[in-house]
Formats: sequence, structure tokens, C-alpha cells
Amino acid sequence: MHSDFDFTPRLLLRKTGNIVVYGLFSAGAFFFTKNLIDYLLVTQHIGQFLMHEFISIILFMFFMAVHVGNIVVSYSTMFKSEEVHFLFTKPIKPSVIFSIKFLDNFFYSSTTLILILISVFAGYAVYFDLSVSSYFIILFLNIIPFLISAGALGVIILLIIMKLAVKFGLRNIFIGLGMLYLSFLISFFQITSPVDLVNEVFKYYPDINRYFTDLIPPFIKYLPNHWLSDSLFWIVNGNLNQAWQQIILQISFAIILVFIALFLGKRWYYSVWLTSFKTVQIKRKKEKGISKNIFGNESFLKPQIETVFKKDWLTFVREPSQVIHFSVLMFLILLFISSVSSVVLIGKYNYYLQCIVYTTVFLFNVLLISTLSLRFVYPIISMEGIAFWKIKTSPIQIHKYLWTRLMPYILLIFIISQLLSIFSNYQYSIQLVIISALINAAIAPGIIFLNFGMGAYFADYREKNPIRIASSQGASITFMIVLLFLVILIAFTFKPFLVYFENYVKYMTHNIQALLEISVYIAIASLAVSLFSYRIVLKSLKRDF
Amino acid sequence: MLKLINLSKTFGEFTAVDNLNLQINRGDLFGFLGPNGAGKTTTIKMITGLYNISKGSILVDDIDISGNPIISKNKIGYIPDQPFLYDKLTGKEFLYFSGGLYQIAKKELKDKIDHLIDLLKIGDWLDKRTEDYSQGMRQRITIASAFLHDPELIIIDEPMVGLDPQSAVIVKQVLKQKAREGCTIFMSTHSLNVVEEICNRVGIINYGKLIYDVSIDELKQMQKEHNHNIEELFIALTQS
Repeated sequence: MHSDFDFTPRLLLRKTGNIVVYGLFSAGAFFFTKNLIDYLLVTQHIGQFLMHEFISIILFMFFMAVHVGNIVVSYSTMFKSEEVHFLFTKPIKPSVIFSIKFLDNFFYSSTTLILILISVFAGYAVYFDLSVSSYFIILFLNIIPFLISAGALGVIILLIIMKLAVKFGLRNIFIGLGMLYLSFLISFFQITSPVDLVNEVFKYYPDINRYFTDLIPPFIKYLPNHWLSDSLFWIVNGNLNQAWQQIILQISFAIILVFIALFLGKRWYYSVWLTSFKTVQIKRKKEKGISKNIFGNESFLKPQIETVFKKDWLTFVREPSQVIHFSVLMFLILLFISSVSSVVLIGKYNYYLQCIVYTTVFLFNVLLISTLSLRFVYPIISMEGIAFWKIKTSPIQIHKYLWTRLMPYILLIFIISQLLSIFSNYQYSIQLVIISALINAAIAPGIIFLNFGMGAYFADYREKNPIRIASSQGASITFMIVLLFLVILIAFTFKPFLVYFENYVKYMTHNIQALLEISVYIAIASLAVSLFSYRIVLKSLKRDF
Repeated sequence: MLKLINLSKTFGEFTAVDNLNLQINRGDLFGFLGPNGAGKTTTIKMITGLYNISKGSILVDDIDISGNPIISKNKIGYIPDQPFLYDKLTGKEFLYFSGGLYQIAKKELKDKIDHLIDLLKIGDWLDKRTEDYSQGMRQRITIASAFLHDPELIIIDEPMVGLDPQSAVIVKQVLKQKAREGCTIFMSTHSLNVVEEICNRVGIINYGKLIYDVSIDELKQMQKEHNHNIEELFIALTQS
């Protein structure tokens, strides 16, 4: 626990650190976006239409991430939080509590994303020389309503889940919903296959800057990500009439969803909150006996390692937000792997394009590792909660405790990173698969330890919700540091990758010497980050509790 | 058994514990009294390793806790003022978890848990998750977890908070029995009648300084001399 007296130097350092990281990140995102657009439009000549369709696909993923994230966060804050228990004992209308929590969740879980999008779209606006008013239209009339729709839809679905859970059981509802989402996502990626889209558009080369109405599937025209990317296309092309049509759709959709959410909140929230206890009790009764003797069982592990490991396992599997979020992320990874294999076939004889696709897939892999680390490793120390006194006062070596806590996550994330490398790159040469696996293996420990270190430094033992911990200010800073690291990584690896692809496409040779050297440098950098982060953990745990 | 030598703790400019010197002998049941903010919990947190020591040293059975934290922690059983447990574990799981931290063999641990279940009357709800426990239930689980490894020194911060009268009686009996068995108990409390009832020595701390360190008989003598009950005497001593 933080003492009330130790605020000055550390707080100052933190605030300065925050500003520096945010500043660096904003500048990085700004220039990255500007240069990427320039590269796609000027070097690769993919055309504005195709670029905005890619933006649409990325926005769809953003929408789903915010939407699912909001379901999980809202479940914890609206139905599990002690603050809500307290508020219900006060003369406050349930609808007011619902509205407060709705806004709180939205801003808490979307702040980082909004900050990222502000910088990204600033780069976009500057590249296309848009006016300041156009930038604000994009930001406030397009992006904010887009994110609000995602959040509101999440809350609506959560209320429906909780309402149905009393009748059909929480688990059944989640399984049903999972299947529904799976079919929806598979349909989306089948309908909007990037490979087909690229091939279709390039049939019209060089006339590829115009708007190809016929190439947009009808189903996509009803999605908010399409409205947003479409309005961007028209703003950039100076057709404000067309842009406003999409903007009005976007705003109207957001308003309708917010009204539905508030309406359902007013009608259902309190009654569903009351019945949620029953749902949890039914679930607990079913669980009884499953893990009854887990601590009593003999084990080959040493007692301290065994006991910490078993405690972690039980606290993880009994926390619904951990299990649900883990399942969702695993599902997204599977989806990524299944959809990415077709993407890698883009530009088979264009080494520039092949290189950019390969590095993009590689970036996504690292981004997934970072997301997993942020979501599950960053909260490790905070999740000990105030019950951490038991471990801190017991005779367990701090290194033993830390490694026992970290090892399952290291193994899991390492295995996932390797599987990602193999399955997302298997259509390339074996050399590239190996290089991807090697670089991922070198990066993964650095990212895991960085999240562990920062999580310990910014530990909040009072917060019980892992999702809120993983969306806190400290977590946002950590994620931005990782993103900065990725930008640097790409800056160092792009050239060797390009040379490799050029040699391969032109001369069919596999020269991986430079890539191997880069892997070694990355491994050294990762080791340095890991050691530094581990020291942060040790220092942080020595603070007064 | 426990020696505090020139012990100080500062938070920035504020001195919470100021040059504290104290020696507790084996088998003592020491009551540590003081008004709110006097430095009782800070002292306890330094003894148990939850706070860093600003100045001075702490010896547990002549072992410096800063130099040998693992050995000294093995000798201490700690019961905090707020019985925070891992919400997702049951009471029984928490006890097994605690025993594992002290590397107690499975069979021995099971026997000890069974014994403590009887002693503290915690059997009825031990298989429920601790998130469903009342304050008193949590407190009794915490007490049981502190006794598992047969500590030579028990450090207790406000043991009676949240306990119903029945539980309070049980806890007092258990503490007296532990002291009789040779265990040293360092207990911070606001319950003056508890101190009067079970302690054999009393220390009073105020503004971080130890202002009195007397036996319970001496305290009773002072009561008689000043014609005060223990509450009145405590107020008089801490205000003077």
C-alpha cells in the first residue's frame, strides 16, 4: 500500500514520465501514420479507395475490441463492484448509478484508444492537408460517436446477458454469445477478404483513386466502421455532402444506442443487479467440490512454489473477468491466425509489398504478445491485493515468489508467440518462419518483464478489477512504451527484411545473415529491458506496504 | 525474544516512531497501548517486515530482522488489524496456502488445521469463499493462519475488532494458552479491559515515543494510587 507521506518526488517523477511518454508516443504515432500513408499512396500506389477500405477493416477490429472490452469491464463495475453496493444503499436512483457507471466505463476503457486515435488522425489530417475544422469533425463527430456506439452496444448486450442468465445460466449464455460472435467475425472476414479486394481494385489500375461502390458488399454498408472510413474518404476528396451523410448516420446510431442503453438500464439494471447474486450463487454451488482438495493434494513441487502456484491458479479461474477475457483473446488470436494466412499472399511478386505485409503481420504478432502481457502480466502484483501482507510477512524468498508468479505467464505467452510465428507465416519460406520465431522469442521476455516491472511500480492493491488495472494510467504508459519500442523495432528490421525479399523475389536466394544479426541485437536489448524491469519489481516490492 | 533498539520510522518530515527501545521476554503477553496515530501499527509493520526501518534495529530471538528476514519471519506469526484474505479462496484453502508458505508437511498441516478448526470453532464455513465471510470470520481465519507454524512470537494488531463476544472469549483463551506454552505475544489494542484481563506487561506509546513500560501489577497499583479505572488512567497518562 502506498503511504500518504511519500508523494512528492515519486509523484513528480511519475507525472513527468507520463508527459514524456505521452509526448513521445503522440509524436511517434503522428509521424508513423503520415509516413505510412505516404508509403502506401506514393510508393505502393494502392489508391485512396483501397487505403480507406483497409482503414475500415482496422476500425472494425477497434470497434470489436472496445465493444467486448466494455462488456467485460461493465460486468465487473456494474455488477461486482463494492462501490455499486454502497451506492444502492443511498437515496440515488438506479438509473443514475447506471448512467454514471456507463460513462465511467466508457472513458476508463477508451482513454488510451482515444489518445492513440487523436495522434493517428492528426497525422492523417496533416498528410491530406485538411483544415483544423475538418480534423475536429473527424475527431468529435466521427470517432467519438463511433467509440460511444461500441461502448453502448457492449452495455446493451451485457444487460441482455444478465437478464437471460437467470433463466438459462451464465455459462450457456456466454457459450451461445461466443458462437454468435464467432460466426459474425468469420462472416465479416469472408465478405471483406483483403486479398479479393486488392485483386478487384487492381483490375482498374491505374484508375484506383476513385470510389468503387460496387466493390463494397451491401452488408458492410450498415456497419459504423464503414461509415467512418467512408466519411474520411469523402472529406479527403472534398465531397462534404457525401461525408455528412455518413457522419449523420454515425451520430444517429450512437444516439440511438445510448438511448437504448439508458432505457434498458432504467428498466432492468436494479432488478438484474439483484438477481445477479442468485446467478453467482447457482454457479458457485455447481463449482463446489471441483477444487476442494487442490491444496491438500501431494505435489512434486516444493511447498512454497506449489502453494503460490495453486493460489494463483484458483484466483485466476475463479475470477470471471480473467477467464472471459482470456478466452476472448485466445479466440481473437485464432481468428487472426486463420485470416492472416490469406493476407500473406498479397503482392506475391512485389517485394516491397511482400515486405510490408510480412512486417505488418510480424507487428501484429508482437502487438498480440503485448496485449496479452498488458492484460495478464501487468496486473499480477496489484491483483495480490491487500491480502499480499500474508506473503510479505512469510518466509519466502522474494525471487522465488516472483519467478513462481511469472513463470506460467512466460511459458504461456512464449508458446503463443511461437505458434503465432509459425501459423501466421507458414506460407512464406522456412527461413522467414524461423526468423519470425527467433525475433518473437527475443522480444517476448522483454515485453513480459516490462509489463511486470511497470505493473509492480504502479501497483494499486486496492483495485480488485484486473481490467481496470490493465486500463489504468500506468498501464497506458506501459503500452505506449511498448508501441514506441515496436516503432524502433520496425525502423531497425525493415531494411534487412526488404533486402531479403528483394533478393528472394529477384534471385530466389535466402540471405538471412543480416536478419540473424538483428535478432541477436533484439535479444540483447530485450535482456537489458528484462533485467532493468526486474530491478524495478524488486525495488517496488521493498516499498512500505 | 523481541528487542527494539533505537527504532525510528519517518515519513518525509513526519516521525511516526521516535527512538523506541523495548525488550519483550519469552512468554510475555505484552499489551501495546496508545491513542490513534501514536505509532502502534507502524511499529508492528516494521517488526513484521511490511515497513522499512528508518533508524535502529529489531531483533527477534537475537536475530536482526533486516539481515535475516527469512529466519526471523519463520519465528513470527502475524495477525493484522484488517483481516484481508484472498477473496476467491475458501477459508480452508487460505489455511493450506499459509501453511505452504511456511513449508509445513502436508500431513502435519492437515492435523494442525483440524486442531485449529476445533480450537477457533471455524469448521462450519471453512469451505465457503472468504469473499462471503463477515469481519469476525475473516479475523478468526487470520488468527488460525498465524498459529499454523507454531511461531515463537505472535504479533497482533487489534485482535478484537469485528469479533462477536463468543469469538472474543475464544481468542482471549487461545492467546492465554499460547503464552502459557511459552509463546511471546506482542499485542496492540484499544481494548483496555482485554489488556487488563490477559496481559502481564503493558507499554504505552504516544507521539511515537514509549512513555510507559510497566507490568500489569504496576499498572493496577497506579490505578489504585490515582483512584482511576483503567480508561481514566490511560487518558490521564496519554494526556500528561
